[in-house]
Amino acid sequence: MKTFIWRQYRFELPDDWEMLQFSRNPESGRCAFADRRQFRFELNWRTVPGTPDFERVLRDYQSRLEEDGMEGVSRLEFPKWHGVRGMQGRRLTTRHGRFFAENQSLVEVVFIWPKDWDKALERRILDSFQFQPSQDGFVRWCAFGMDLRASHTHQLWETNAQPTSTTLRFTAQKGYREQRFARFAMPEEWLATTPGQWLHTQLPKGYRIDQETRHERNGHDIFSLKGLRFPPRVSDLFRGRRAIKASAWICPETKRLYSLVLVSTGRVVDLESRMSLRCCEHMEVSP
Amino acid sequence: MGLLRSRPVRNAAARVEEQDSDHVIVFVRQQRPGFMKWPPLSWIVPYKRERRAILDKVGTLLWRMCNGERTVEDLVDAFRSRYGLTFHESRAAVMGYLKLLTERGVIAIATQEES
Repeated sequence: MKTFIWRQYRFELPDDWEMLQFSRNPESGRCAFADRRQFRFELNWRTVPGTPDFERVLRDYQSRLEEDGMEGVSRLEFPKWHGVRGMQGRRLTTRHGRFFAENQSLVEVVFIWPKDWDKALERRILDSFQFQPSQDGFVRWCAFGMDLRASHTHQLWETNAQPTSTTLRFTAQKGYREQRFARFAMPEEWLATTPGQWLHTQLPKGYRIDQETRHERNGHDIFSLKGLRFPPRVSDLFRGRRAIKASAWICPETKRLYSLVLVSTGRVVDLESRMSLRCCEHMEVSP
Repeated sequence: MGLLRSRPVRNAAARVEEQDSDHVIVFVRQQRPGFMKWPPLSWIVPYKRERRAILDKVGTLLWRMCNGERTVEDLVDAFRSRYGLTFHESRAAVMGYLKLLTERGVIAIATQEES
């Protein structure tokens, strides 16, 4: 089983279930996971004003499913969850809902069982589902093979998930401050330079690099750099001059190239430098 | 699912030039369209008997594996284990390459009827 954390919802899924669809919207969204054959699991969330009346919600939901052609719709009860099951064609589908007071949201998870209904697996996944609170001002995300901590003041602004590369970009102050995490596959096929030289191509324009370092830790060769906005802009007078910190490395265990970039201002740069990206269990890097 | 069970096969009529162990160039024969066979178009429009496809390292590896025996799913699994990818990452990468190679006539894909 592997851990996923998305929008502070933490849960465990079988190793071969991968996230293929996702939403960035904190108010309402959906993520879908598939094994190699088909979609198996879906997570939906929506913020609601208060605890819903599950009895009524389930009654309405049951009748809606029956109208949609689902057969054999019946109730399911798991600890903390309220659910229904039904047959859609020859496939069994189970759906469970739960209210999370921590962020006032209603969560629905959907399981698709193409063959047998694995109740033990379903129970294990539902038991693992929890709200992951922010810790020391950082929010943890686990997805696309990255385990990262981004400042809770930043919003997920952009997710670029390609077959062999993923970038998550978090921003604050309308993009004035930024935290970027990336992971790239097959670097041996396309990376013709060192990760340190490649890192220069990933930086936003308008920064003067003042310091470049390279150090080895737990078998990982980490290239880091620091710089300042140059020349300074008028906006820097009001919002603080921007500094940049970045790191890149190839993990010998996963054989992937990782990078993280922090753009921050003088007052908070030290605090935000505690953002981190973990590539394997032996290595967690901050810029 | 049908596509994953299909078997890509190299174009047997194509001429192959080995650059080195990691790179090949495949020359695919092409036919002149009927309306270009006769003057004056045949005088004006240049025509090449072969179209050249230069394969990079990954493309060459994939092309070598397309032997008509392996299914697309086998290729996806082979790529997955070679490059440490997840199944869907590997599937997207392999499908992208197969699409390119098919469009250029370098390979053909034999589909199998669902039983």
